[in-house]
Amino acid sequence: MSRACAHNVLELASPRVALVDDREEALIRACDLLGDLPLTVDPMLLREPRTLNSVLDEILGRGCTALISDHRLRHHARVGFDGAELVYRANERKLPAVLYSAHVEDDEATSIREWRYRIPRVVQKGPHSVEAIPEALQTAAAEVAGRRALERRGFLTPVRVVDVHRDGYPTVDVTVTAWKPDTVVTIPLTRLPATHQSASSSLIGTVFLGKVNFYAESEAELFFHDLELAPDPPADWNTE
Amino acid sequence: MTEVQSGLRPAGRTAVDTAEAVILDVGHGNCAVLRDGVRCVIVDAKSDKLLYQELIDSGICRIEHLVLSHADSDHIAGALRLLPNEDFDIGTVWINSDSNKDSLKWHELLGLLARLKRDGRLRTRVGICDEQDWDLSLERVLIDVLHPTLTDIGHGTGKAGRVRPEITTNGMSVVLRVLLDGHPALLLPGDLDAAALEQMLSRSKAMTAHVLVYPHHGGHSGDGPENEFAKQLCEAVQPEVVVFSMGRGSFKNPLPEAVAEIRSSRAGTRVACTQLSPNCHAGEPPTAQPLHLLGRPAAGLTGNRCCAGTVRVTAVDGALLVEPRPEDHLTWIEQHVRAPMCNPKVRLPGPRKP
Ligand SMILES: [Zn+2]
Repeated sequence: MSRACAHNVLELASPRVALVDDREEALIRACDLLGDLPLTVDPMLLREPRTLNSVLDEILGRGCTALISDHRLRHHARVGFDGAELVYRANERKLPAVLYSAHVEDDEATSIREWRYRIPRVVQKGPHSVEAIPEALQTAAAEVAGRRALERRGFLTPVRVVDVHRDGYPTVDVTVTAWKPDTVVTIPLTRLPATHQSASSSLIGTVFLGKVNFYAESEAELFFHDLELAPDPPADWNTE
Repeated sequence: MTEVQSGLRPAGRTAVDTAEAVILDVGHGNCAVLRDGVRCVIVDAKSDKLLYQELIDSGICRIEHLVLSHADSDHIAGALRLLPNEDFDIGTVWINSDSNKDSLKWHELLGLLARLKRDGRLRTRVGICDEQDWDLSLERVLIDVLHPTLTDIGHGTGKAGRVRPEITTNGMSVVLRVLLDGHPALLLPGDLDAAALEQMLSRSKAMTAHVLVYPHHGGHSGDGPENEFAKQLCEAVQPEVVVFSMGRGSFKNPLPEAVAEIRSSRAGTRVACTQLSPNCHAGEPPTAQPLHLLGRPAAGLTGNRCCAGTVRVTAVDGALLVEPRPEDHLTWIEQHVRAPMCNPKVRLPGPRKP
């Protein structure tokens, strides 16, 4: 059902947009804020454990043509997923979705970066978010329709591990020469291939190849997709 | 799902049957697009976004060959970003090995090439030398490899030994002579140094070309006198136009003695720098609108740093045309550049008031 509507989410007079949060006050506040936009906001309060797919099915069943989701859903709703994953899966299922969070800076390198490949826009909660939401939904709709701006396209490129952090959310620091060679970027350890998720310092110096949107300006926008160990030049290198 | 490009101007600015050579203003570095219709050969890739824009604007969909003249960053950096882009079909990437090179960019580029080759995205050839015949050519763009020799790439870069000569990274630069519609149009010597030039001169291959893209961005060619290097090079190439592919950045290129030598030994030869040299105009660049520039991507468009900007060479009515046209470029220089090395007769007290 969503598939037919996804391409023109904002062309409808008043598209129905699901707004997901796990805290009632936050949901009311967001509804008020977005009330001025030409959208029909369909609030959805998550208060009990349920699966990601059941949430998505309900959103689609309500006839929503887009989704705006809070990121930190685990605490109150006790669900086993973050808003970032919900947004990722929604976009994967062709329901244009954007992430809406009050803690962007705290989570962008970890639980958001984990799913960034299919999160076209992350909008910071607050008064200014009203201006950002329409463009964000438009971008999400375009991506669902297969149109990614250059800054959102991932290209195969070397990713070099320069440090490993085992405490808290396990992460590695990497450099991406094709982006900004001298800038260290933190990514979740789980972005590495399953064979290399041991968080041991032996990872330092390892080069992986994966899809990175290296035309993006800011570090927060970077995603790391499908990383694999980089090959050595083959022995038959010279023979075409 | 095919993810298509958005946010760039539409393709097809120029007729698809055009044969042309475009020397992109990439600042300090090199990048030439030798185009025959929708196919092209790219020689060096300092830039990525400019090159990408140029290819999209020109409607080019196939990069038949990418030649990396040598392993320095100002010649290869853009390849790391261009090669994985599936908007273009890529034929063969040509490189020479460099045992002196220990840079992350070079190392990572080799890893990327290996993977793209394994994926069937492109072919690789390691070992470009003057035995190449015309392998790099397109129908209307013939490309001859003049340097290095088979012996050079056999030895590789490194210090002189009991029998082997010293070969530097710059000295290993691939030197290409390009014929456009049959006209000897361009000499692309990368960062050729004096030792390699001397070796080239000892061979009998024709080096003449209408346009010489001056080696090493007009910087030093070794320890010897730069006027002597410029003189020998110009005698061999006999250029009508000398282009310096340089940036208005930290290097004060081109060297004044090289420009002076070109002017004295080849009177009437046009000198065109892609960007405005600080040697010609120190301080802030002119703010006047540079109307002489081609409507092509150029690094100097940011911050008004272009002098000639991006340069285009085409064969028109049996002759080679180099744009921006000299008269338009010269008018701008006369009006806005304080002490242009390319035209010492023009001495203006400073930029004119509008
Ligand atoms: Zn160079």
